[in-house]
Amino acid sequence: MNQTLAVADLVERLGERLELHWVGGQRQARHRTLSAVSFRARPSLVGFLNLIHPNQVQVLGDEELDWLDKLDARQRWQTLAEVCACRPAALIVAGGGEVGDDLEEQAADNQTPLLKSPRPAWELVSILQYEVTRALANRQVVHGVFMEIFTIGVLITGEPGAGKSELALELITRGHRLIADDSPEFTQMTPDIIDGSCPEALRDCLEVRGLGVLNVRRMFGDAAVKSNKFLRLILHLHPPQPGDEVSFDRLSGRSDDARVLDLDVPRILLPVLPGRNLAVIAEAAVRNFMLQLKGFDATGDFLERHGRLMGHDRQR
Amino acid sequence: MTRRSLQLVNRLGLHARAASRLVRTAAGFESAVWLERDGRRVNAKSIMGVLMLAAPLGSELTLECDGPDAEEAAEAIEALVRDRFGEDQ
Repeated sequence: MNQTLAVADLVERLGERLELHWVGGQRQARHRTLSAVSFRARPSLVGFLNLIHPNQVQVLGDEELDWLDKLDARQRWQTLAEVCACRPAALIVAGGGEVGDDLEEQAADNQTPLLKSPRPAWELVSILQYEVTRALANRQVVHGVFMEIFTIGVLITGEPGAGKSELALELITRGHRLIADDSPEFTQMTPDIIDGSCPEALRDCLEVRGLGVLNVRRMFGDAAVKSNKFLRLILHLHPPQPGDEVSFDRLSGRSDDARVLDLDVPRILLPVLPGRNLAVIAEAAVRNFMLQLKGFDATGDFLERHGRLMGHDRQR
Repeated sequence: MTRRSLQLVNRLGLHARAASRLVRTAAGFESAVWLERDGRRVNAKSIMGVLMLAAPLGSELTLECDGPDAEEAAEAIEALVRDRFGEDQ
């Protein structure tokens, strides 16, 4: 999904907190938008006045205003023309500085939204950067049930009918927490952090075949649901295929990585077999994953012991 | 019931990868498959059991297969061992 954020919405969200006041261009603010910038591109969403790498929101603090004041009238006029010609989404004069008539005039000519605030420029820049990055982060909806198991954010995936919701229900009764059933929404917060949350309409709901929609919060209490969580692990349920018995690695199980947004997320593949308690297996998979995060690999440890038993550890 | 005597001819003996291949081969048959070495008898369809034999190069193993496809199972496992579990040495 490619996100955009209108300047009007940004001001609505932060205007009061940052004491933003309109100087001009308020009518254009609906149509001036900030658009997502990929992690690989130079971030130039919000920043101090920059003519070389024009930011989409340019903040003019005391230093920038001082610098503009030192230019002679013609240079100053040209510089301001250049700033507006880059069509910034908005210009903000910070630190309670004086908005010069020439700046106001140029912004009006170019229909550039112009705001001012008594707050210091660095404060505006850091808060705006955070909010804008969050609002414009890449998003993706993935089919599955997103849960918190032993404090780890785990996405359960699998074909329809694989038993995702039943597994979720059993995990909830065992004290784990539901974040979102069916369509959790994932947001790339930083290059290696993906946050998962629930679309408003689906919040607290879990659909189980034969029972319909259940309200987990009402049934199990507030502690059974969680609003959001970082995605760390995927458990993929799949029906056993002929030949699985022959290809499965009994010592290390089967796992790979699954791409979500711009991140490879570790994925464990669990065959669904009759008579297996999947919730217990899911819990064990998460516990083992936590050990691996701490650097302990049970299979490797066992093989090392076996090597010593065989007496050829020195040859390896 | 089929009983055969096997000798390991690969350099590393019944190490993890070899044991894993042996278990996979055994699991493909309906018959019960057993391996015995120095009085320790294990189910050849269980990876941990087979690894606990800790059988190095040159060890003698007794293979026992019991069931409808016992003969084929014994043949397949014997061939795998003879083939050094598909390894070079």
